[in-house]
Amino acid sequence: MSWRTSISFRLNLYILTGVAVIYFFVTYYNYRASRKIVLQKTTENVEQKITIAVDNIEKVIIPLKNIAGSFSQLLSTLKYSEEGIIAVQKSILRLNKNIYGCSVSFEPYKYNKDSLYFFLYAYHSGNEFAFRYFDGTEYPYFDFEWYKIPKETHQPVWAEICEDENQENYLITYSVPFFETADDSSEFTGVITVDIDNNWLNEMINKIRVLESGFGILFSSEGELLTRPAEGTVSDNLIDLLKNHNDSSHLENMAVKMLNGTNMFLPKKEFDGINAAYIAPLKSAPWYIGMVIPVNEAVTDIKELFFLNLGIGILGFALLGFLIALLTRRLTRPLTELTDASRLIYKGNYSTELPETNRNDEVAQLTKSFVAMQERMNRYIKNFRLTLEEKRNLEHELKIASHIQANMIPNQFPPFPEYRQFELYSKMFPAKGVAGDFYDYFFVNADTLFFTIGDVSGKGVPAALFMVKAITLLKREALADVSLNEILFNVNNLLTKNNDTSMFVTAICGYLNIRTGKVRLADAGHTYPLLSNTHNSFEYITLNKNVPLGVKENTQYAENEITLKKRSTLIFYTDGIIEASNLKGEMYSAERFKNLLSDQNDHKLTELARIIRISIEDFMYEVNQTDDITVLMLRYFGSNHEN
Amino acid sequence: MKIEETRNEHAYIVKITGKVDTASYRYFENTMLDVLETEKNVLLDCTDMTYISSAGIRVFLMVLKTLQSKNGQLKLCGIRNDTKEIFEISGVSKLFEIYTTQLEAYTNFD
Repeated sequence: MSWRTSISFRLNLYILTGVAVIYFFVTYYNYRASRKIVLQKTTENVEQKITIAVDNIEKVIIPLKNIAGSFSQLLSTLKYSEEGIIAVQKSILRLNKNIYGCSVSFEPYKYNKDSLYFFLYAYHSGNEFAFRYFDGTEYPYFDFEWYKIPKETHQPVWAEICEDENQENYLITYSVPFFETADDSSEFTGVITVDIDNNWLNEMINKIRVLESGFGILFSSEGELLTRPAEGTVSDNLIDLLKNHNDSSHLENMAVKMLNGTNMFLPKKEFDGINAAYIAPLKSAPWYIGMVIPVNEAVTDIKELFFLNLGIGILGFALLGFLIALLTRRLTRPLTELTDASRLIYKGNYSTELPETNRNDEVAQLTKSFVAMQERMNRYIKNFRLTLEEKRNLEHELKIASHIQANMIPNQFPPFPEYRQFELYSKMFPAKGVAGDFYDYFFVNADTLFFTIGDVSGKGVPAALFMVKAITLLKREALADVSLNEILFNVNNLLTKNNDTSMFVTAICGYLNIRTGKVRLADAGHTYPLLSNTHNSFEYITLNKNVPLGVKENTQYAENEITLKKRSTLIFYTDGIIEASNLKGEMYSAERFKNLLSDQNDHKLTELARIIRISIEDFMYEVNQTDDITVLMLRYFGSNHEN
Repeated sequence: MKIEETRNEHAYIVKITGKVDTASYRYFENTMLDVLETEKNVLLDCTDMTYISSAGIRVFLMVLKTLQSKNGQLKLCGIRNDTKEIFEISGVSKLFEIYTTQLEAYTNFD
């Protein structure tokens, strides 16, 4: 058994895989859901902050715009002297700390017919105000955008950011055109500017914090960054990205949306790929406040929690696996022991001790059954061994019995080598074990040979014992040198008496007078013998039929007498020959037997016996011999063959 | 070989059909041993018995001897000429009461 097929391994595999899949799915889903909620909350928070920031900026910008607007109205309607303008500028600066400077510039020769340029600029310088005049040579303002655009559009405009006089501050300029109105016409006369120091914008925007690394920015619709993000808060590439927003197409989309005055959320894939952004437009200026939301930072805790969960999960699974392994080991240990024990039993160690169990589960039941089975098996094996031994003994005894039985019939050939008057040959082929056929021959006086052949009904040991009884009785009676009828009469009565088994014997007994060739024969239900004729062939001779021995008491046995000519042969046989069967169920038959021996009388008796045996074997082919086959042959040569 | 068993008021009738040879005599023998357990008067109808081997003859003799030992009767009927010859060669034909028909056999049971 490989470890991969063990119950412990499979149980671990299935349970752990199942639980792990569910656990990781739940954990991951939880992570995604939490992340979504956190990002949503963060965005809501940013939205609030941005609204406040927008309000704060508007609160400053709107009055400034109003001031600039009012000033331009004043200039349009009132002809101010230089001192008047300066006074207004002064008061504007004084009243608005957020205004860094304020300028008034005129079209050529509009203020002074002799002067092409007139530009008056007032600005904060420490706690005081400073004033500057410019003429065209040092400051050709007609071509600057803050002047050109309002002139062309007749609309106020927010100019791009620029540095101040001393290059200390960044300024954002709001330009408003003013006109000279006469009756129903108005003529562009000049531009008023209000410069906003962007320090306070910076401060305000930089105060905005989204988590640790998120920050706010202010940028114009042109994409120009109007505030400087605090050092270290923004990575360079983000600044680059914002700077390059000019040509980015999604900024255009963004601008379109924002011109509609709607806030916009940019998920990270639409922003810089790392951070998300929330952008809101201002109403009073073409500016936007953007807030960079550091997504990674927002979800850091969630992520940590996720990995912590994973870690705990893995530890938990390891523990679970260990416990399952432990449990299955505990549960299957008896099974493993049982398996080992059964393997030993299988290998032939039948008395292997099976593991004891004090539990009462399925394994214990199995073990109990196994123990019972083993006990039973051992008992069977013991019985089997005993039986086998008994069988061996019995077989041995049977062999001895068979041997004894075989020795009861003559087995010496030629049996009467000293006699030239006749030849006798007999052969028995037992079907198996102890036989039921028999034959015998002996001289009862100097001239007379007694011979007999017989066949006991039935098979096996009973038949053999009956045969022993029959042959013994026949010998005893025959040696008394009485008539065949007397012999058979007596033997029949002895065999019939107390014959509960209903066994009987068919037999032929005969006397041969070796001087005269006269043969007396008495039949007891046996097969007809064959006698050779003058043509060297054989014919069946019909004897007076009598009842077999052992059937009916006080039976008389009619005798027959024939005289043998020279070289006459008598063949006696048992029905094992003519009833031998082949595969088709055909029988060898008396007819076939007679035909086989046709023209065969010149063979020696041993040769004849061989021919008969081979013919029968060929006929039966693969069929086992079921009955004993016995043949007894007697050939007479005549009295002048005497020694 | 086929064996049919019936009973009437006279005897237990066993009708043999086909060959009683070395292949089938054991079945015949076992059937008869069962019959002999209970029956005393038996009629073996051999009208359709086409052949009988010496082993078969032995079963007939066994039945005869067993029935005689318990004062029963065995009768045969309808033995064909070719099978009758086998009985005669075996020297047993005179041991059996042989009738031509079943009816004739019944009337002779005691």
